[in-house]
Amino acid sequence: MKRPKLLHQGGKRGSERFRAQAAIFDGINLLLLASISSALIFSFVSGYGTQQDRVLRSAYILNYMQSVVKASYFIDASTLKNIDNRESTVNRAGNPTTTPLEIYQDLADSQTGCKALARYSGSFSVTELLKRDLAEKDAKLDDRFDGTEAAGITAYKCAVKELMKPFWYAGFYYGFDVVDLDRADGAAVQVMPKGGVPQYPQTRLVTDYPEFLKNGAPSQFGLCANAKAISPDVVTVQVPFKVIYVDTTNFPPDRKLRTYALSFCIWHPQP
Amino acid sequence: MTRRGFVGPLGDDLPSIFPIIAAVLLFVGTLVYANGLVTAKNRTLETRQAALGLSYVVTERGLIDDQAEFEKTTCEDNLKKYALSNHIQFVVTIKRYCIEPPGQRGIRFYYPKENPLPEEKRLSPSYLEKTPTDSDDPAVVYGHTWTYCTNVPNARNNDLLQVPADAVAFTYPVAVPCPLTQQLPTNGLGIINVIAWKERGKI
Repeated sequence: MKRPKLLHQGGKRGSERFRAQAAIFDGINLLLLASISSALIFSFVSGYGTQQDRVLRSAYILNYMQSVVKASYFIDASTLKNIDNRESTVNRAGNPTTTPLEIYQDLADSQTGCKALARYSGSFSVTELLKRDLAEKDAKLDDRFDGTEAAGITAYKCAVKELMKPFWYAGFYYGFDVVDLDRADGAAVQVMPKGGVPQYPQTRLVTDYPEFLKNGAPSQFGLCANAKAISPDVVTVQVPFKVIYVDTTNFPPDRKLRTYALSFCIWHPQP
Repeated sequence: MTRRGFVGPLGDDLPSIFPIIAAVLLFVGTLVYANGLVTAKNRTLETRQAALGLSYVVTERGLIDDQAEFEKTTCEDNLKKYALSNHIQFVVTIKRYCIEPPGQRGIRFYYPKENPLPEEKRLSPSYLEKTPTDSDDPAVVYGHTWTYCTNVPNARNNDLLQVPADAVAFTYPVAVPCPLTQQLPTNGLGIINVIAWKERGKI
Protein backbone atom coordinates (compact mmCIF):
# COMPACT_ATOMS: atom_id res chain seq x y z
CA MET A 1 0.00 0.00 0.00
CA LYS A 2 1.29 3.37 -0.98
CA ARG A 3 1.69 5.75 1.96
CA PRO A 4 0.42 9.29 1.36
CA LYS A 5 3.17 11.85 1.36
CA LEU A 6 3.01 14.12 4.36
CA LEU A 7 3.12 17.81 3.62
CA HIS A 8 6.19 18.50 5.68
CA GLN A 9 7.99 15.71 4.04
CA GLY A 10 8.51 17.70 0.94
CA GLY A 11 6.90 17.88 -2.34
CA LYS A 12 6.66 21.16 -4.15
CA ARG A 13 2.98 21.72 -3.42
CA GLY A 14 3.39 21.25 0.34
CA SER A 15 6.32 23.61 0.75
CA GLU A 16 4.54 26.39 -1.22
CA ARG A 17 1.43 26.12 0.98
CA PHE A 18 3.65 26.28 4.07
CA ARG A 19 5.48 29.31 2.71
CA ALA A 20 2.19 31.19 2.20
CA GLN A 21 1.03 30.33 5.71
CA ALA A 22 4.36 31.45 7.19
CA ALA A 23 4.19 34.73 5.31
CA ILE A 24 0.72 35.65 6.58
CA PHE A 25 1.72 34.55 10.07
CA ASP A 26 4.73 36.89 9.88
CA GLY A 27 2.48 39.71 8.69
CA ILE A 28 0.07 39.26 11.59
CA ASN A 29 2.99 39.06 14.00
CA LEU A 30 4.38 42.30 12.62
CA LEU A 31 0.97 43.97 13.00
CA LEU A 32 0.78 42.77 16.58
CA LEU A 33 4.28 44.06 17.28
CA ALA A 34 3.45 47.42 15.68
CA SER A 35 0.27 47.68 17.76
CA ILE A 36 2.16 46.99 21.00
CA SER A 37 4.87 49.50 20.03
CA SER A 38 2.22 52.13 19.24
CA ALA A 39 0.52 51.53 22.57
CA LEU A 40 3.88 51.96 24.34
CA ILE A 41 4.59 55.17 22.42
CA PHE A 42 1.15 56.59 23.29
CA SER A 43 1.67 55.65 26.90
CA PHE A 44 5.01 57.52 26.90
CA VAL A 45 3.57 60.55 25.13
CA SER A 46 0.59 60.86 27.47
CA GLY A 47 2.92 61.22 30.46
CA TYR A 48 5.56 63.26 28.65
CA GLY A 49 6.22 66.65 30.24
CA THR A 50 3.83 66.13 33.15
CA GLN A 51 6.56 66.45 35.76
CA GLN A 52 8.06 69.53 34.08
CA ASP A 53 4.58 71.02 33.89
CA ARG A 54 4.04 70.44 37.62
CA VAL A 55 7.39 72.00 38.44
CA LEU A 56 6.65 75.08 36.31
CA ARG A 57 3.19 75.51 37.84
CA SER A 58 4.62 75.18 41.32
CA ALA A 59 7.35 77.72 40.42
CA TYR A 60 4.65 80.16 39.28
CA ILE A 61 2.65 79.74 42.50
CA LEU A 62 5.79 80.23 44.61
CA ASN A 63 6.79 83.33 42.67
CA TYR A 64 3.26 84.70 43.01
CA MET A 65 3.25 84.19 46.77
CA GLN A 66 6.70 85.73 47.11
CA SER A 67 5.40 88.70 45.12
CA VAL A 68 2.46 89.07 47.52
CA VAL A 69 4.83 89.24 50.49
CA LYS A 70 7.24 91.59 48.66
CA ALA A 71 4.41 93.92 47.62
CA SER A 72 3.11 94.07 51.19
CA TYR A 73 6.38 95.76 52.19
CA PHE A 74 5.64 98.70 49.88
CA ILE A 75 1.85 99.08 49.69
CA ASP A 76 0.67 101.95 51.87
CA ALA A 77 -2.06 100.84 54.23
CA SER A 78 -4.12 103.96 53.52
CA THR A 79 -4.53 103.00 49.85
CA LEU A 80 -6.59 99.99 50.97
CA LYS A 81 -9.29 102.09 52.61
CA ASN A 82 -11.92 101.31 49.95
CA ILE A 83 -11.59 97.52 50.24
CA ASP A 84 -14.58 95.80 51.80
CA ASN A 85 -16.38 92.47 51.54
CA ARG A 86 -18.07 93.22 48.23
CA GLU A 87 -16.65 91.48 45.21
CA SER A 88 -17.19 92.59 41.63
CA THR A 89 -18.18 89.66 39.46
CA VAL A 90 -20.26 88.95 36.39
CA ASN A 91 -23.74 87.46 36.75
CA ARG A 92 -25.24 84.72 34.57
CA ALA A 93 -26.51 87.28 32.10
CA GLY A 94 -22.96 88.57 31.72
CA ASN A 95 -23.60 91.88 33.47
CA PRO A 96 -21.24 93.23 36.13
CA THR A 97 -22.53 92.86 39.66
CA THR A 98 -21.22 92.98 43.22
CA THR A 99 -21.62 90.20 45.74
CA PRO A 100 -21.01 90.58 49.50
CA LEU A 101 -18.81 87.81 50.89
CA GLU A 102 -19.48 86.52 54.40
CA ILE A 103 -15.90 85.48 55.06
CA TYR A 104 -14.74 89.09 54.65
CA GLN A 105 -17.66 90.68 56.49
CA ASP A 106 -15.37 92.17 59.14
CA LEU A 107 -13.51 94.15 56.48
CA ALA A 108 -16.67 96.15 55.74
CA ASP A 109 -16.90 97.57 59.27
CA SER A 110 -16.43 101.33 59.15
CA GLN A 111 -14.51 101.46 62.46
CA THR A 112 -12.46 98.26 62.45
CA GLY A 113 -12.44 97.24 58.79
CA CYS A 114 -10.33 98.45 55.87
CA LYS A 115 -11.94 101.90 56.04
CA ALA A 116 -10.07 102.46 59.32
CA LEU A 117 -6.79 102.34 57.36
CA ALA A 118 -7.49 105.86 56.03
CA ARG A 119 -6.07 107.04 59.37
CA TYR A 120 -2.57 105.97 58.30
CA SER A 121 -2.48 108.30 55.34
CA GLY A 122 0.82 108.22 53.47
CA SER A 123 2.84 107.05 56.41
CA PHE A 124 2.73 103.29 56.93
CA SER A 125 3.17 100.33 54.66
CA VAL A 126 1.19 97.21 55.45
CA THR A 127 4.16 95.40 57.01
CA GLU A 128 5.18 98.47 59.03
CA LEU A 129 1.72 98.43 60.60
CA LEU A 130 2.09 94.70 61.23
CA LYS A 131 5.41 95.32 62.99
CA ARG A 132 3.74 97.93 65.16
CA ASP A 133 0.96 95.46 65.99
CA LEU A 134 3.64 93.00 67.18
CA ALA A 135 5.89 95.46 69.04
CA GLU A 136 4.33 95.13 72.48
CA LYS A 137 5.25 93.24 75.61
CA ASP A 138 3.07 90.21 74.95
CA ALA A 139 3.16 89.99 71.19
CA LYS A 140 -0.26 89.23 69.76
CA LEU A 141 -2.07 90.28 66.64
CA ASP A 142 -4.95 92.37 67.91
CA ASP A 143 -4.71 95.59 65.88
CA ARG A 144 -3.28 97.36 68.91
CA PHE A 145 0.12 98.70 69.88
CA ASP A 146 0.02 98.84 73.65
CA GLY A 147 -2.78 101.32 74.30
CA THR A 148 -3.08 102.77 70.82
CA GLU A 149 -4.56 101.47 67.61
CA ALA A 150 -2.30 99.84 65.04
CA ALA A 151 -4.44 97.93 62.56
CA GLY A 152 -1.58 95.69 61.42
CA ILE A 153 -3.32 92.36 60.99
CA THR A 154 -6.41 93.99 59.49
CA ALA A 155 -4.24 95.88 56.99
CA TYR A 156 -2.60 92.60 56.03
CA LYS A 157 -5.98 90.94 55.62
CA CYS A 158 -7.24 93.78 53.40
CA ALA A 159 -4.12 93.57 51.22
CA VAL A 160 -4.11 89.78 50.97
CA LYS A 161 -7.82 89.69 50.14
CA GLU A 162 -7.09 91.70 47.00
CA LEU A 163 -3.74 90.22 46.10
CA MET A 164 -4.88 86.60 46.36
CA LYS A 165 -7.97 87.05 44.21
CA PRO A 166 -6.78 84.95 41.24
CA PHE A 167 -6.24 81.93 43.48
CA TRP A 168 -9.42 82.55 45.42
CA TYR A 169 -11.31 82.59 42.11
CA ALA A 170 -9.59 79.32 41.20
CA GLY A 171 -10.80 77.58 44.38
CA PHE A 172 -7.56 77.67 46.36
CA TYR A 173 -7.42 78.59 50.03
CA TYR A 174 -4.71 80.64 51.68
CA GLY A 175 -3.46 81.17 55.19
CA PHE A 176 -1.09 83.60 56.83
CA ASP A 177 0.80 83.23 60.11
CA VAL A 178 3.44 85.13 61.98
CA VAL A 179 5.69 82.41 63.38
CA ASP A 180 7.66 83.25 66.52
CA LEU A 181 11.19 81.96 65.87
CA ASP A 182 12.37 82.97 69.35
CA ARG A 183 10.18 80.24 70.81
CA ALA A 184 11.70 76.78 70.82
CA ASP A 185 8.52 75.16 69.50
CA GLY A 186 8.09 77.74 66.69
CA ALA A 187 4.45 78.43 67.51
CA ALA A 188 2.51 81.09 65.64
CA VAL A 189 1.73 84.43 67.25
CA GLN A 190 -1.78 84.40 68.61
CA VAL A 191 -4.42 86.22 66.56
CA MET A 192 -7.08 87.67 68.83
CA PRO A 193 -10.77 87.20 67.95
CA LYS A 194 -12.49 90.27 66.64
CA GLY A 195 -16.20 89.73 67.18
CA GLY A 196 -18.98 91.36 65.23
CA VAL A 197 -19.42 88.43 62.84
CA PRO A 198 -21.26 85.70 64.83
CA GLN A 199 -20.87 82.96 62.22
CA TYR A 200 -17.10 83.52 62.04
CA PRO A 201 -15.78 84.24 65.56
CA GLN A 202 -12.13 83.94 64.41
CA THR A 203 -12.65 86.47 61.69
CA ARG A 204 -9.37 88.32 62.29
CA LEU A 205 -7.41 85.35 60.97
CA VAL A 206 -5.92 86.03 57.53
CA THR A 207 -7.45 83.17 55.58
CA ASP A 208 -10.36 82.46 53.26
CA TYR A 209 -10.91 78.94 54.62
CA PRO A 210 -14.32 79.09 56.37
CA GLU A 211 -13.53 76.27 58.82
CA PHE A 212 -10.58 78.18 60.29
CA LEU A 213 -12.65 81.37 60.50
CA LYS A 214 -15.31 79.44 62.44
CA ASN A 215 -13.18 77.40 64.81
CA GLY A 216 -9.67 78.79 64.54
CA ALA A 217 -6.58 76.71 63.90
CA PRO A 218 -6.71 73.35 65.71
CA SER A 219 -3.16 73.74 67.07
CA GLN A 220 -0.94 76.61 68.14
CA PHE A 221 1.35 76.22 65.13
CA GLY A 222 -0.77 78.37 62.89
CA LEU A 223 -2.91 77.98 59.81
CA CYS A 224 -0.20 76.71 57.47
CA ALA A 225 0.82 73.87 59.78
CA ASN A 226 -2.83 72.88 60.25
CA ALA A 227 -3.59 73.12 56.53
CA LYS A 228 -1.35 70.08 56.03
CA ALA A 229 -4.07 67.99 57.65
CA ILE A 230 -6.54 69.19 55.02
CA SER A 231 -4.41 68.87 51.92
CA PRO A 232 -1.18 67.03 51.12
CA ASP A 233 -0.16 69.82 48.71
CA VAL A 234 0.42 72.91 50.82
CA VAL A 235 2.80 75.41 49.26
CA THR A 236 4.36 77.68 51.87
CA VAL A 237 6.58 80.73 51.61
CA GLN A 238 8.40 81.95 54.71
CA VAL A 239 10.31 85.22 54.96
CA PRO A 240 12.22 86.51 57.97
CA PHE A 241 10.60 89.37 59.82
CA LYS A 242 12.38 91.24 62.63
CA VAL A 243 10.63 93.51 65.06
CA ILE A 244 12.23 95.87 67.55
CA TYR A 245 10.43 95.95 70.87
CA VAL A 246 11.25 98.79 73.24
CA ASP A 247 10.47 98.09 76.88
CA THR A 248 9.78 101.52 78.33
CA THR A 249 9.12 100.23 81.84
CA ASN A 250 12.88 100.17 82.44
CA PHE A 251 15.20 103.14 82.45
CA PRO A 252 16.97 103.43 80.11
CA PRO A 253 14.45 101.64 77.88
CA ASP A 254 15.39 98.12 76.81
CA ARG A 255 15.55 97.42 73.09
CA LYS A 256 14.95 93.83 72.08
CA LEU A 257 15.11 92.38 68.61
CA ARG A 258 12.45 89.75 68.10
CA THR A 259 12.73 87.29 65.24
CA TYR A 260 9.59 86.21 63.45
CA ALA A 261 8.83 84.64 60.09
CA LEU A 262 5.93 85.61 57.88
CA SER A 263 4.48 82.31 56.77
CA PHE A 264 2.16 82.42 53.81
CA CYS A 265 0.62 79.26 52.39
CA ILE A 266 -1.83 78.09 49.78
CA TRP A 267 -3.63 74.80 49.35
CA HIS A 268 -6.37 73.08 47.43
CA PRO A 269 -8.56 70.75 49.51
CA GLN A 270 -8.71 67.20 48.31
CA PRO A 271 -12.10 66.22 46.84
CA MET B 1 1.28 20.34 -15.19
CA THR B 2 -0.89 22.53 -12.99
CA ARG B 3 -0.30 23.04 -9.28
CA ARG B 4 -3.50 23.24 -7.27
CA GLY B 5 -3.75 26.21 -4.86
CA PHE B 6 -0.68 27.96 -6.10
CA VAL B 7 -1.37 31.41 -7.54
CA GLY B 8 2.15 32.46 -8.29
CA PRO B 9 5.06 33.78 -6.21
CA LEU B 10 3.37 37.17 -5.54
CA GLY B 11 -0.17 35.87 -5.35
CA ASP B 12 0.75 33.40 -2.69
CA ASP B 13 2.13 36.18 -0.43
CA LEU B 14 -0.64 38.65 -1.24
CA PRO B 15 -2.73 38.10 1.92
CA SER B 16 0.32 38.71 4.10
CA ILE B 17 1.04 42.05 2.43
CA PHE B 18 -2.09 43.67 3.96
CA PRO B 19 -1.15 43.16 7.63
CA ILE B 20 2.44 44.17 6.83
CA ILE B 21 1.34 47.43 5.20
CA ALA B 22 -1.14 48.06 8.04
CA ALA B 23 1.61 47.47 10.61
CA VAL B 24 4.05 49.81 8.87
CA LEU B 25 1.37 52.52 8.47
CA LEU B 26 0.29 52.18 12.10
CA PHE B 27 3.86 52.41 13.39
CA VAL B 28 4.92 55.29 11.15
CA GLY B 29 1.65 57.14 11.85
CA THR B 30 2.14 56.72 15.58
CA LEU B 31 5.72 57.99 15.35
CA VAL B 32 4.68 61.06 13.35
CA TYR B 33 1.77 61.83 15.67
CA ALA B 34 3.87 61.30 18.82
CA ASN B 35 6.61 63.50 17.40
CA GLY B 36 4.05 66.24 16.80
CA LEU B 37 2.74 65.95 20.35
CA VAL B 38 6.21 65.97 21.91
CA THR B 39 7.25 68.98 19.82
CA ALA B 40 4.10 70.89 20.80
CA LYS B 41 4.58 69.99 24.46
CA ASN B 42 8.25 71.04 24.35
CA ARG B 43 7.26 74.30 22.74
CA THR B 44 4.72 75.00 25.48
CA LEU B 45 7.14 74.06 28.26
CA GLU B 46 9.91 76.22 26.79
CA THR B 47 7.52 79.15 26.46
CA ARG B 48 6.33 78.74 30.04
CA GLN B 49 9.91 78.49 31.27
CA ALA B 50 10.89 81.62 29.36
CA ALA B 51 7.80 83.48 30.63
CA LEU B 52 8.74 82.47 34.19
CA GLY B 53 12.25 83.82 33.56
CA LEU B 54 10.77 87.14 32.44
CA SER B 55 8.53 87.13 35.52
CA TYR B 56 11.49 86.69 37.87
CA VAL B 57 13.07 89.80 36.36
CA VAL B 58 9.92 91.94 36.66
CA THR B 59 8.93 90.79 40.16
CA GLU B 60 12.45 91.12 41.54
CA ARG B 61 11.66 93.96 43.96
CA GLY B 62 7.92 93.90 44.51
CA LEU B 63 7.83 97.60 43.69
CA ILE B 64 7.93 99.39 40.35
CA ASP B 65 8.01 103.08 41.17
CA ASP B 66 9.91 104.70 38.32
CA GLN B 67 8.42 104.50 34.86
CA ALA B 68 11.57 105.75 33.10
CA GLU B 69 13.83 103.36 34.97
CA PHE B 70 11.54 100.44 34.19
CA GLU B 71 11.52 101.28 30.50
CA LYS B 72 15.28 101.77 30.32
CA THR B 73 16.84 99.27 32.71
CA THR B 74 14.29 96.53 33.21
CA CYS B 75 12.81 96.60 29.74
CA GLU B 76 15.68 97.39 27.36
CA ASP B 77 18.60 95.89 29.30
CA ASN B 78 16.97 92.85 30.88
CA LEU B 79 13.65 91.74 29.43
CA LYS B 80 14.37 92.30 25.74
CA LYS B 81 17.78 90.66 25.93
CA TYR B 82 16.38 87.68 27.80
CA ALA B 83 13.59 87.31 25.23
CA LEU B 84 16.06 87.53 22.36
CA SER B 85 18.19 84.71 23.73
CA ASN B 86 15.11 82.55 24.30
CA HIS B 87 13.49 83.27 20.91
CA ILE B 88 10.24 84.49 22.40
CA GLN B 89 8.02 87.46 21.90
CA PHE B 90 6.47 89.05 24.94
CA VAL B 91 4.48 91.88 26.33
CA VAL B 92 4.66 93.00 29.97
CA THR B 93 2.06 95.49 31.16
CA ILE B 94 1.84 97.15 34.55
CA LYS B 95 -1.53 98.33 35.77
CA ARG B 96 -2.52 100.46 38.72
CA TYR B 97 -5.51 99.91 40.97
CA CYS B 98 -4.69 102.58 43.55
CA ILE B 99 -7.72 104.78 43.13
CA GLU B 100 -11.10 103.42 42.27
CA PRO B 101 -13.94 104.93 40.27
CA PRO B 102 -17.44 104.65 41.80
CA GLY B 103 -18.67 101.07 41.91
CA GLN B 104 -15.21 99.53 41.72
CA ARG B 105 -12.88 98.49 44.51
CA GLY B 106 -9.61 96.65 44.72
CA ILE B 107 -8.07 94.75 41.87
CA ARG B 108 -10.25 93.66 38.99
CA PHE B 109 -8.79 90.52 37.48
CA TYR B 110 -11.48 89.78 34.93
CA TYR B 111 -12.47 91.61 31.80
CA PRO B 112 -14.82 90.67 28.97
CA LYS B 113 -12.93 89.18 26.05
CA GLU B 114 -15.80 89.39 23.62
CA ASN B 115 -17.09 92.78 22.56
CA PRO B 116 -15.57 94.77 25.42
CA LEU B 117 -16.70 98.33 25.95
CA PRO B 118 -14.01 100.97 25.26
CA GLU B 119 -13.36 101.44 28.99
CA GLU B 120 -13.27 97.67 29.52
CA LYS B 121 -10.83 97.23 26.65
CA ARG B 122 -8.30 99.21 28.64
CA LEU B 123 -8.42 96.55 31.38
CA SER B 124 -7.06 93.95 28.98
CA PRO B 125 -3.60 92.57 29.93
CA SER B 126 -2.33 93.38 26.44
CA TYR B 127 -3.60 96.97 26.25
CA LEU B 128 -0.65 99.16 25.32
CA GLU B 129 -1.81 102.75 25.48
CA LYS B 130 -0.15 104.29 28.52
CA THR B 131 -2.02 106.56 30.92
CA PRO B 132 -0.36 109.83 31.92
CA THR B 133 1.59 109.40 35.17
CA ASP B 134 0.31 112.64 36.66
CA SER B 135 -3.37 111.94 36.02
CA ASP B 136 -5.39 111.52 39.19
CA ASP B 137 -8.69 110.74 37.50
CA PRO B 138 -9.80 107.31 38.74
CA ALA B 139 -11.55 106.65 35.44
CA VAL B 140 -8.20 107.03 33.67
CA VAL B 141 -5.95 105.35 36.25
CA TYR B 142 -7.97 102.33 37.43
CA GLY B 143 -6.84 99.18 35.64
CA HIS B 144 -5.23 101.02 32.76
CA THR B 145 -1.74 100.33 31.54
CA TRP B 146 0.69 102.58 33.39
CA THR B 147 3.73 101.33 31.54
CA TYR B 148 4.65 98.38 29.37
CA CYS B 149 7.50 96.59 27.67
CA THR B 150 7.36 94.50 24.52
CA ASN B 151 9.60 93.27 21.74
CA VAL B 152 6.77 92.92 19.22
CA PRO B 153 7.63 95.00 16.15
CA ASN B 154 5.27 97.93 15.51
CA ALA B 155 3.39 97.22 18.76
CA ARG B 156 2.95 100.95 19.32
CA ASN B 157 0.59 101.07 16.35
CA ASN B 158 -1.99 98.96 18.21
CA ASP B 159 -3.70 99.99 21.41
CA LEU B 160 -4.85 96.40 22.03
CA LEU B 161 -2.12 93.96 21.04
CA GLN B 162 -3.51 90.72 19.64
CA VAL B 163 -1.61 87.83 21.16
CA PRO B 164 -1.62 84.29 19.71
CA ALA B 165 -3.91 81.70 21.24
CA ASP B 166 -0.94 79.61 22.45
CA ALA B 167 0.58 82.49 24.43
CA VAL B 168 1.41 81.91 28.10
CA ALA B 169 0.09 84.55 30.50
CA PHE B 170 1.10 85.12 34.13
CA THR B 171 -0.18 87.73 36.56
CA TYR B 172 1.63 88.98 39.66
CA PRO B 173 0.89 91.57 42.33
CA VAL B 174 3.19 94.55 42.67
CA ALA B 175 3.30 97.88 44.48
CA VAL B 176 3.03 100.89 42.18
CA PRO B 177 3.05 104.63 42.85
CA CYS B 178 -0.42 106.09 43.20
CA PRO B 179 -1.28 109.48 41.76
CA LEU B 180 -0.48 112.33 44.10
CA THR B 181 -4.01 112.86 45.27
CA GLN B 182 -3.03 113.61 48.84
CA GLN B 183 0.24 115.46 48.21
CA LEU B 184 2.10 112.49 49.65
CA PRO B 185 3.91 109.86 47.62
CA THR B 186 2.08 106.61 48.27
CA ASN B 187 2.38 103.16 46.78
CA GLY B 188 -0.70 101.11 46.15
CA LEU B 189 -2.07 97.99 44.52
CA GLY B 190 -0.92 97.09 41.07
CA ILE B 191 -0.50 94.05 38.88
CA ILE B 192 2.03 92.87 36.36
CA ASN B 193 0.88 90.88 33.34
CA VAL B 194 3.51 88.79 31.59
CA ILE B 195 2.43 87.32 28.24
CA ALA B 196 4.92 85.36 26.14
CA TRP B 197 4.82 83.21 23.05
CA LYS B 198 7.28 81.51 20.73
CA GLU B 199 8.36 83.36 17.64
CA ARG B 200 6.84 81.79 14.54
CA GLY B 201 9.15 79.24 12.90
CA LYS B 202 11.41 79.00 15.96
CA ILE B 203 11.33 75.76 17.92
